[in-house]
Amino acid sequence: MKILLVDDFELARNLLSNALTDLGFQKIEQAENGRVAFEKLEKACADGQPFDMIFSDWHMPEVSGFELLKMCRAHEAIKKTPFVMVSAETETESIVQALKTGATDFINKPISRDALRKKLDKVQEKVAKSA
Amino acid sequence: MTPVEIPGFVDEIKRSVEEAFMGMFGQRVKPAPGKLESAVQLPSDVAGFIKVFQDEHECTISIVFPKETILGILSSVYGKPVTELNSSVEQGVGEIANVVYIMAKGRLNNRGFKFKIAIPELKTDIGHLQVRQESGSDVLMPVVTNAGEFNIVLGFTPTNAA
Repeated sequence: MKILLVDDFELARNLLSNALTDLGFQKIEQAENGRVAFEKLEKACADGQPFDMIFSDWHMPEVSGFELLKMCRAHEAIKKTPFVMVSAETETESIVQALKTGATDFINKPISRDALRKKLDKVQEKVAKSA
Repeated sequence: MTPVEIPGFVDEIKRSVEEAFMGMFGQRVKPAPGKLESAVQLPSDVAGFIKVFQDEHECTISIVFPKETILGILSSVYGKPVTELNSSVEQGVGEIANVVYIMAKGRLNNRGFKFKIAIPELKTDIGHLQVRQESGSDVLMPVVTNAGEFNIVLGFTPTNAA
């Protein structure tokens, strides 16, 4: 599985990347904002090696996680890619808004390995049901 | 906080630190049993401070790193040597303090403590940072990680109760 992590905070990207690696995922790429992420997503599709899942923070400069979500859902080749919004525990309204806009799921910061494993199982289950 | 409540409080902070390191770094750390001290003075390089309130200021949780330990921890996160205390390291300590804060808030609420906890503060001063409690009782808790040791200091504000 090829996963894209989007966060403007390098430490957060690395923590999540390390956690995913520990869970056995190896194809992990990173982007520091929604603009860079979308470029990577489009290029991956063009190269015939699309991403299988996106984890994105909400608050980022240039193009936010929410903007990225809308761009993905409007793009023919990316609209079905599972999109997990990473949020702070206080952002309940944002979570609802993201889910209504097409986010597959959300995960709260701080992300523990245990929570991440459960979330990945849940997302993969959702994707399998909708396929 | 009454003296009777302090051991339970210390235990929840200890567990919060363990959870934070396991969640963030997948690393099982071992905080030593808290040692009661008076007016701790601890030289260090970088530290995060979490203030806990009830009606008034009750306790400051200080997470105190020597340079070598925090550089070692963050080198493993970034997958490359981190050799200087720069803004990335400060972000890292801030994030550790933030995660401990979130864990502690949840655990203390679940235990029935009605504390308000302030957003963590951060201080860096290589070789000169003094974590100093002027008065009251302190609990000093050394924590062993794969990259070396750091300290948790719980500085309790003295109560006026007779």
